[in-house]
Amino acid sequence: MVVHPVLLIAIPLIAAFIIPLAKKYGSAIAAGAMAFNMGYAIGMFSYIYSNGKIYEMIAGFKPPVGIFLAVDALSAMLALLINLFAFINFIAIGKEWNYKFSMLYLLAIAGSTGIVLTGDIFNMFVFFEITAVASYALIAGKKDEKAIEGAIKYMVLGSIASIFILMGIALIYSQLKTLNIYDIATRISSMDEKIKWASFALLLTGIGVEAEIFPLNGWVPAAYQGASSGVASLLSFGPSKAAIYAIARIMMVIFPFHATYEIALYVGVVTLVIGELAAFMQEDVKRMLAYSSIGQMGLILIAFSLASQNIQNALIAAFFLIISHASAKSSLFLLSRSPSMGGAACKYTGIVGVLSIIGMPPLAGFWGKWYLMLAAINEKLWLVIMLVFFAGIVEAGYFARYLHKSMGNESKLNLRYKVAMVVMVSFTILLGLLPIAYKMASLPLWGW
Amino acid sequence: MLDIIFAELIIAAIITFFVGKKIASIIAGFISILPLFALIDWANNFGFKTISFGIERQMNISVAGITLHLGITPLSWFFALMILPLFPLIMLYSYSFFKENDGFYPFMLFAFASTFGILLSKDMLSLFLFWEIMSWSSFLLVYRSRDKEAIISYLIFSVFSAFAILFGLIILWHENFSLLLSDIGRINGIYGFIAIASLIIGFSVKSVLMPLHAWAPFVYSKSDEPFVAFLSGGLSKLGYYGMFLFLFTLNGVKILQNYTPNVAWNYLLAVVGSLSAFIATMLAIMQDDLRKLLAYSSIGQLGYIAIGFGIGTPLAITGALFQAFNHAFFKAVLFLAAGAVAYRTGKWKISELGGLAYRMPLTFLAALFAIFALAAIPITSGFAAKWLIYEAAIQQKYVFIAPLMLIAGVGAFLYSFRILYGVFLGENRYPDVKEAPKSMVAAMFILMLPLIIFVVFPGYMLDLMKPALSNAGIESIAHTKFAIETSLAKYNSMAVLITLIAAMIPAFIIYKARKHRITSFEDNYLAGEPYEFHNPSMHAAHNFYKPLKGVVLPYFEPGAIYYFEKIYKGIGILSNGIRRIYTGFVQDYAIYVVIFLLAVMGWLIWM
Amino acid sequence: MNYALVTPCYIAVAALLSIGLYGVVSKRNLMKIFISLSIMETGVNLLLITIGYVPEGTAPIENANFTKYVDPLPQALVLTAIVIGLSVTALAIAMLISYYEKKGSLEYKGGMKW
Repeated sequence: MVVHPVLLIAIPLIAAFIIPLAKKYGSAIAAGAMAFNMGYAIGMFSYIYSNGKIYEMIAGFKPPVGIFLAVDALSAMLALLINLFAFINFIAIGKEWNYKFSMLYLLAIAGSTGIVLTGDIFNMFVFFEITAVASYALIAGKKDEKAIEGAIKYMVLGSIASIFILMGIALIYSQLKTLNIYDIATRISSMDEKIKWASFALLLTGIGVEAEIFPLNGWVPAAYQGASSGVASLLSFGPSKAAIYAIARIMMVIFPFHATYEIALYVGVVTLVIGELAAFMQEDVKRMLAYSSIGQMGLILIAFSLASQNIQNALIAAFFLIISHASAKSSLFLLSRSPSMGGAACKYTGIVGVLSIIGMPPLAGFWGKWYLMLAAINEKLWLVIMLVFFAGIVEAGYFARYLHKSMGNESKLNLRYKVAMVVMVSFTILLGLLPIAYKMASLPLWGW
Repeated sequence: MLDIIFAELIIAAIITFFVGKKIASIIAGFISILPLFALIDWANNFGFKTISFGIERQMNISVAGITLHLGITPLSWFFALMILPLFPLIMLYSYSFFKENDGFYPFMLFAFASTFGILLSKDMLSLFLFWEIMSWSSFLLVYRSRDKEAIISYLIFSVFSAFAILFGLIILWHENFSLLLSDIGRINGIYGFIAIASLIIGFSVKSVLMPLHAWAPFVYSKSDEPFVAFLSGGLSKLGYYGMFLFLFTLNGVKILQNYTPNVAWNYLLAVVGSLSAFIATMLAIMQDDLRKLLAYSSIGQLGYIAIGFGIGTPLAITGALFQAFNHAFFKAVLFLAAGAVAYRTGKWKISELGGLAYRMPLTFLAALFAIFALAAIPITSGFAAKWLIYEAAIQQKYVFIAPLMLIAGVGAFLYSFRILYGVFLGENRYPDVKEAPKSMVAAMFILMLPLIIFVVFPGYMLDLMKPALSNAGIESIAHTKFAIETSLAKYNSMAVLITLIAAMIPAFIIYKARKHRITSFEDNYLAGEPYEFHNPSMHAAHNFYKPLKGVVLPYFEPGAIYYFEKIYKGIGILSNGIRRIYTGFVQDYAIYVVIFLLAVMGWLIWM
Repeated sequence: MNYALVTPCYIAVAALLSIGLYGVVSKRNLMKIFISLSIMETGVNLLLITIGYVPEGTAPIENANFTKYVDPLPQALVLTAIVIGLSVTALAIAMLISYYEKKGSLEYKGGMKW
């Protein structure tokens, strides 16, 4: 059986283009496309589970001239995560807006999946832009003052980011004359030192704006606060995860040097501490969750930056942290739509989401922090461990206040919303208990 | 068989989510008896002849790709003996306590399963895993209380204790690359020191050792009583189980001392324990809220165990373990009695209660026995435990600790009397309450039984402790069934009991022989007072101990709770400062981006 | 690359980028901010084209009279980048219209702080 990863990108794009022609059936077409994507992503993931890795050439041109999609275990996992959650999220919010929302949603998902699957750096840039533009429009879709403000902030910073990414690609191309990630990796040593570091700095800054690392994440609180809860949920599991995957891929494949891992570690730690501390005194729920997202992104970056020496533990840690954050934060954003946590579904979703972010076993967030600790202590990074613990205690502080403040008696969410919320948060429970990660660790995660 | 017990606990926890209260409590009650069978069976392995059910001693479970090693050790068997019987009785009690099932039973069963798991853990990961499950299931039970301070402080302290334990465990893992607890002994140097210190700090949060006790007054006073009975009777022992495990069974003491041979860390632990006992007891005397009083009294009584561990001689450790055993039962009885009182009268403050002994005699009897054990009245088992610790302190000539302990002992009697007088004796303000429901009374009485048994057979308790102690390399002290003998003195409980009964018989005969005359409260000739219903200051227990309060209280303010609140506010100020980074102007954010770019480029190119 | 024709291009790139950045950071009017962003994008496009320069090369269209062509790949990249810039600018202007309707002026006052 041959698996074509390109379908995961192509089908949502085609559906997005068809939707304006059939306006009335907009959400149905989108739901259909996402259902297909979800199924295909599950199929691709199980194929990789048993076979290792796949790559696919687009339009028949062999690399390094042509663009190709390189899927290994980490890519497949992220693609599965994005598409699965996209479908569940769409169940919750798909009927609310008109066909334009469905179109933008499909574009954002196609773009995020493209970032994750591609093996060509300019292709990654193009998908970045697709995702970013779709997100700008989605955030502003709520059409009130805060939404426009948030979208404008994101847009200005996103444009600057894309300029920097393009500069970084230009510098790499000027030296190596290739755009293929793996080709660049084999020839990186023939690059001029200063230009190499300059291009890494540009790429890190550019992609880092999307990946919400400090100090590039000024847009994050405004954007999440202004967006509607469904869109905020999409932002949690889609573009930001794809962006941090991109940073990891670039760092580990193209620039696997000690200096880059060091910078990533420092940036990650600073992001974590500042994000969690800033969340501590927030009054508005969405803003608090946005700062918490920043902190978790810092944690994921720390996990990736430990991959130089302990690739096994670090990658398993990153995997669990990504899953736990995506499912917990997405369901918490969906929950933030109702002013109080009434009823069993809301209450337990909130509690499980909070506990997973703090890191309580047997939820997935615990395994993330556990493997992170194991990787960190191998390199005797005491300060990092202490700061991760401190951040965890601060998290406990503000989440406890959040749980107390939003205790209530009724929530105005309809059934579809509640089902989506509960299904999302149950992924942390499932993945904490099933032995998927350990099987994944035995696969060649970076196979090229 | 063991995995079936575990599986049944988890399944029962999930089932009780969905059913109504009556069925839930019956299921919970029956399921929680199952581990007791295992307990009886395992007694065979440790030298006691009982029936055997064929439950295996060890088991390995595979979850999420990791193997958890579970098995019973002598130490955990002893601690299981004091914690596990609490469960069925709490379920029995809660049959009448709750009006509906809204989340109590499932989380209680989760807490039970995880407690069982902690006691059975043989490797670090499963210890931590079950510790955390116990943390969040008890957090969910605290969450039902809807009280802000309880929820926030409990979550923060639980997470702090979890991280401290995790820190210690990963240092130990890193030295040996093995997770099995039996492989720890080969660590030395600074890493071992930091690991053991971190573990002790983490465990002492749960076992409410000062100054990490700050969550206890809030949590104990606002949560449901059956849960608090488990929290203070059961969970706090788990902290001491962990401490004993790492200090003595795994030779943590040697690790600490290898690193700093001149500093006696034991003494520090004993001093902290004695300060904890003293300060908490003094604070307990001042309290008007019955539950807060019991909370502070818990902190005080548990401090004795730390003193025992700190002194470190076999005598002291035996006394500490005995005190742990007693505390589990008498504190559970006291909290259940407080719950029964609140169930019938709806009041918490001692100054609003009174005279309940006439209307709730059985509750009064159970509470009375529990108070005898708490206050270490001679011939109760509480006395035997404390006497052993006192003996050890005197033997070691600790001039700071022994007087604090003795004053705390007197203080324990003072607040016990306040409970007795304010709640049960005194004028009868509630002439129409009924006795507590039968299941509650039954639970309290069954819990009282061990306290009575060990009144007469303290030696039997020492027999039960022997496998745990010898596993840790501590010799047990000389004892027979009725008597304990130390180098300073000999305590023969049977002799004391017989003397007491012999002395009481004439008194009883005299009491019965004469005719009694019952007068009313207002009879001025016999030192009564005019009775005003509405003046609260005429209540016998109002402003009890006011002189003592005036003298002592200024020295105890500010306490640890004040400093923790200061830390909380400090983090809030830090957070407010950091929030200022996000100014809301996109131009500032753009400048941040450019600065970051230049900084990273500069770092990479010139370093 | 040490060609005399190319250095002024790099200087132009640096100038465009700095002017654009200055505009974004110091202007109050949102329209001016987005125009400055367009200027920055133009700068980067210029950078990309300059990198592809081959001395004495001609436009990358097959022609029997020439043997050296300028590198065509950056020109394709620039085409893509121009289109992306266009779509962002279009979306930005749509949002500015909405902003103007809500606030009455295009002056950026900053919101949702801290």
